[in-house]
Amino acid sequence: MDREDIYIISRNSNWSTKNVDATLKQDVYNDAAAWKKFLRLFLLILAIGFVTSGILFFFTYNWYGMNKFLKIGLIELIIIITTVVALFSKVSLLIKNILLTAVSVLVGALFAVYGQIYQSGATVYDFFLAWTVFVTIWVIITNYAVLWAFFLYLVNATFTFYVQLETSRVSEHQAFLFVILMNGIWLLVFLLLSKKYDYFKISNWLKNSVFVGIVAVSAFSVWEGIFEKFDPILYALITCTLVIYFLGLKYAFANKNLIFLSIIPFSFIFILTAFSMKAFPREWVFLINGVFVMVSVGYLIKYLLLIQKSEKWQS
Amino acid sequence: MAKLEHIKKLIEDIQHSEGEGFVLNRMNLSEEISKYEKENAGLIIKIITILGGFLGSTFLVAFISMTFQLNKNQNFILAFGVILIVGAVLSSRFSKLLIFDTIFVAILLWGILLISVSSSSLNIAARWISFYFLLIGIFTIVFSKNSYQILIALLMIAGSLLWMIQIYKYFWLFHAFTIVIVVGLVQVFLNEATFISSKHYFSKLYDSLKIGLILILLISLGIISVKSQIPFDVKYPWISSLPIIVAILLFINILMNKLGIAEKNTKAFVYLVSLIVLTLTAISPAIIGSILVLLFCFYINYKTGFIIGVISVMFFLCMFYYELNYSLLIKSEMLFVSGLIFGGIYFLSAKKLMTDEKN
Repeated sequence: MDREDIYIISRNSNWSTKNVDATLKQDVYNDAAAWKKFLRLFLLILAIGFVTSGILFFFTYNWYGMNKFLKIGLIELIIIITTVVALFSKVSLLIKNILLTAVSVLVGALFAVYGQIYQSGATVYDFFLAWTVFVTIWVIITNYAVLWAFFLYLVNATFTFYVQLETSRVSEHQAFLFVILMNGIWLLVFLLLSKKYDYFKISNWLKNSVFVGIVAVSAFSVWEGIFEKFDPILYALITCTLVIYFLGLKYAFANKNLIFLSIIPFSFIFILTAFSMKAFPREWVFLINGVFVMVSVGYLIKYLLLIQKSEKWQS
Repeated sequence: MAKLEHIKKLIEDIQHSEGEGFVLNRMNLSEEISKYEKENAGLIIKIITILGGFLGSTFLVAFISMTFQLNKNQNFILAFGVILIVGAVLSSRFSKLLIFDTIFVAILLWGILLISVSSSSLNIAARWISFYFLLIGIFTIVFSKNSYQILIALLMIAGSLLWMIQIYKYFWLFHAFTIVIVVGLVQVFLNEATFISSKHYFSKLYDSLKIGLILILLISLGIISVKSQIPFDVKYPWISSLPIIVAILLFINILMNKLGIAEKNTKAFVYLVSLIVLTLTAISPAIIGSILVLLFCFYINYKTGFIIGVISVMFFLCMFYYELNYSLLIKSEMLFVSGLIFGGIYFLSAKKLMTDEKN
């Protein structure tokens, strides 16, 4: 019995409070086993999190009194010890993954200290590039979703800092296009290969959030591109967006992914309103757009609700 | 109609345990189930509905403001805002479609936004604006039947009360505010059955109340804890931590019963450790406040609240260390020691938390 069932029945009957309470506690609330798991994980994350950030703060602190060699050596030692523990000890896979995630964060600290000591003149871009490159192997070995998300963040951050540095060489639209392509290809590779190899089966939250990110970036960049000064890259951007939407819809129907199936049409509606405003820059277009959005989204939701309930998607 | 069959079966069981006195309103029940079947949407559909409602109503509001050139006179905008709010709240009572529900929510928000923009350019005194917002909140709670609108109203009422505290400089009232919110939170989370089986208003209000109180608690504690960003000069912020600590300790008792911890020594030890950790955190009410939210939401298995709790614990911890007026070295030592303490608690409790799990 889930919470909604209890609510509906309780609202329409004189079910006694005492029994409602008992049913809730038995069927809905978390049981002792779940609590134990939660408390264990909670304490573990707090412990590892605090220790890692303590170490991180320790090295970000300008610690002039310490020998350069010692500084770098210490971080490397911590990285090596943690990695060895993660690789060879008998702790559970989850703990190993969390440890390696911590190591990946520490690699950043290592480069920060290195840059500080040798005044390497490195830009933010160089720093992130090095960080990205040197965590890659752990990301690939662990294949842990959190670490993959962190890796994608690093890659995108590196690229963003590169674009900010080289504004004369890369236009804003080219940058958007590249971000969409880069993340899109990563996702495509994983989705295509997941049928054959277990390694490429990624967890749903990672897949969905990467795709939502791609769609959001594509929608906003096309929207912006329509209103700004014309740039031929816009055509590439629109083509790329359409291809991604097509593939996304195909995937959604094949794999019953409601998230893909909802955001693609919505993003499409969003882009269409931009086109109409560009084509007819008048006041009444706002009225037309308002009605258009309400009606089209209304029908979209009706359709999605139908699909969600249909037996094919239930199974 | 799978739901109807499912519920009929459940009702048979309930009838069995409740005995002869059990009365069921079959008409309403089947009506509600068919509405539920039609509109029960996953999170993503809800999000799309909300985005669509906002986008659509934004176009409409923009169209009306441009056509009637409302920007020429701020009084018109103020009046338009009031019309939007009253219209949105009253029409929400008749809405039968999901998309209209969100459109009325969006229009309500637009009304609030227009009122705040126009009243600030008309130089209306802040004490009047806060009073108007309080009235709007109360009006919405009384007349609306839409749970999102009620949530907005709850936030508005709390927000305007906090604003009044700041305007009149009665900062000590803030602690009274926290106590009220914490008591409310305890009632709402530990007495879910009482709320939903009550026949009147509260059972409809319950969901909005749950998320509303969480947000109000976290936002208000955030205001006094994140000092560098917001000028809200509450003296002795730790006083606000006291009701939260009491609530957590009460909750730990419930939790130990659930986990089957009965030995007096263990209980005393758990209380002692929790009290020490909580006392150390008392300087930042926001951190223990979000821990309270986290625990409560996990207890009743309320996922949205749980995620909010996780995010706010992380956020307030980061802000706390960011604003702490010590050198980085001392901060790093504090963090490291806290990490060791939690690691110690982990290893002490690991056995207890592991062995019983297999049962």
